Amino acid sequence: MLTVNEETCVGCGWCQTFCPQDALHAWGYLEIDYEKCDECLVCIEFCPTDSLSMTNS
Amino acid sequence: MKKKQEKCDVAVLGSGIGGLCSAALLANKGYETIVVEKLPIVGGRCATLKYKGYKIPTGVLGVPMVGSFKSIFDEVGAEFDVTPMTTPPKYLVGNEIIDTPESDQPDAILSRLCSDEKEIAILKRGINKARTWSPPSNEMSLQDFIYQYTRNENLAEYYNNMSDRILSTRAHEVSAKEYFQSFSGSLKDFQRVGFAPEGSIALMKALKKAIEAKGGKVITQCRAKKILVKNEIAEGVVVEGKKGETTILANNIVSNAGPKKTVALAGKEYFERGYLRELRNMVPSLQIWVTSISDRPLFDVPILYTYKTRRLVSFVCVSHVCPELAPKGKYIHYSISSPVSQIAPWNLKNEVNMHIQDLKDHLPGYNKYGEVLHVGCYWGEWPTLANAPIVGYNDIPQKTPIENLYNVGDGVAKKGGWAGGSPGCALTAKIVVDDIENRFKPGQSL
Ligand SMILES: Cc1cc2nc3c(=O)[nH]c(=O)nc-3n(C[C@H](O)[C@H](O)[C@H](O)COP(=O)(O)OP(=O)(O)OC[C@H]3O[C@@H](n4cnc5c(N)ncnc54)[C@H](O)[C@@H]3O)c2cc1C
Ligand code: SF4
Ligand code: SF4
Repeated sequence: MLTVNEETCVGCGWCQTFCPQDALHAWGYLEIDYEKCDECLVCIEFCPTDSLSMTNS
Repeated sequence: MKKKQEKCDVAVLGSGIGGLCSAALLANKGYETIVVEKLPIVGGRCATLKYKGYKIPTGVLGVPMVGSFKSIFDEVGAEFDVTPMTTPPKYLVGNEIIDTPESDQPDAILSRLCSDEKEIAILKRGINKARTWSPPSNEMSLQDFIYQYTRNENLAEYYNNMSDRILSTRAHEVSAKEYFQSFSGSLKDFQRVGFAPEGSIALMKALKKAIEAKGGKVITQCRAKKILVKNEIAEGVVVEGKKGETTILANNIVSNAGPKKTVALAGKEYFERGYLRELRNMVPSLQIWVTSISDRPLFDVPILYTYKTRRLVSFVCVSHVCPELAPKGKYIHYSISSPVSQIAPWNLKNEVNMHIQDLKDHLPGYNKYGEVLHVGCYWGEWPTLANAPIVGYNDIPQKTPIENLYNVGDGVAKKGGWAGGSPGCALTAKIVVDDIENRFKPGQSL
């Protein structure tokens, strides 16, 4: 499951623009739409603050 | 298994403006240079995000067309694809648009904001003295400086917006000295300004190309993990890329990761406490970038400065200058806001909402035709300016306490008018490259 570290995420919205599934939405904080996310890992590579990770659920 | 090892003259950590400007200058002078960048794209806060056919800046939007940044492109022979902006800005005061004559804009706007010519004359005399004789103290805010001459609310608001636009810090917090010195520093470079039609990332890609043409390397998705230090001298860096870990041995290390990350990479034990305290005192600033789209331009000139709003500072109808940034027949706009204070706590969600409410309330036609495409907040570890020039602030030197280890970028921007942005970051690169050149020859053995 994609997890955002709320302590370090600044809400820059970079990840939103790279997600092929349109599953992310930044508005000062990040919202993840788990219905749409297919765990492709793309957004993790592009986060400038290393705030995204995939955890086992 | 034997660990991979490489050697070069200079290893550059990070491909922001500071990193790529340093590397391009060094490679051009014959230094064997390797740049490592942790992200898949170059440019950092001078890059471009492509989203639904539109191009969104990650920082640099207005590109200075003269001065320190531009001169690096000339020196290394990198393409500088920037379209100049020639139309003067307009001013929105509350809901009234103020259109000033083309020449002498600041003067014209002051007279429109205050009808008492005598009061303006007194203020102008004070400002003239600060700019041409001696700047006020670093311990005084711009607001306190202005209050010496006028209590006119409109005039105070003008300077509030100005200081926010150029230093992302409001007048009551910004160092009056730094504000006035920026007129002979980075603002001189912005006298001619433009926008990159392919996005600012094109400029960073051009620097990358210039580095590679001179035999240098720029490796993306390659993260610096540890700066190697021996006897208080930097001697290399451990990086992790797609092919695993490599040790790069280098005469000099130039870090563009920001001074705090540089400490973490090398190890805190090498830095004296006074230096660490200075780093802790840095205040990174917040600005919020909202990208709006529409089927028609939401304003008739490229730049609108907005006064007497909740948070909004400026609105850029960039399609007037660079239609290439939006799909055919569509228009793209960027707007910028900052909190009332860079020091006091703020609620980011509220800050974003106030920005958008300002767009709806103050921009004619926004409600009907405008649509928010993207919201980007830059602060903390990924800020607008890494060391905002708040009253009493100090700059951080480019040289670190570890020999042969330098920082570049806006975290070490020079006091005295160069607080950040592309001119300030380019200047840090020039300072560092000059120093390396004085101390090492290309290919000099370790
Ligand atoms: C919203 C906003 C608007 C702005 N508008 C303008 C403008 O109009 N004009 C202007 O001139 N300036 C503007 N600025 C300021 C300008 O963007 C910055 O001052 C400048 O881009 C900072 O460059 P830098 O050299 O500090 O590097 P950065 O952009 O901070 O780049 C550092 C790079 O280092 C990489 N890195 C970090 N850690 C590592 C590691 N361990 N290993 C490898 N790589 C690493 C990062 O991924 C990044 O790519 C704006 C900034 C913002 C945020
Ligand atoms: S890219 Fe990273 S910091 Fe930016 S909004 Fe996404 S998770 Fe947050
Ligand atoms: S993992 Fe892939 S699908 Fe999921 S949010 Fe990130 S980019 Fe989108």
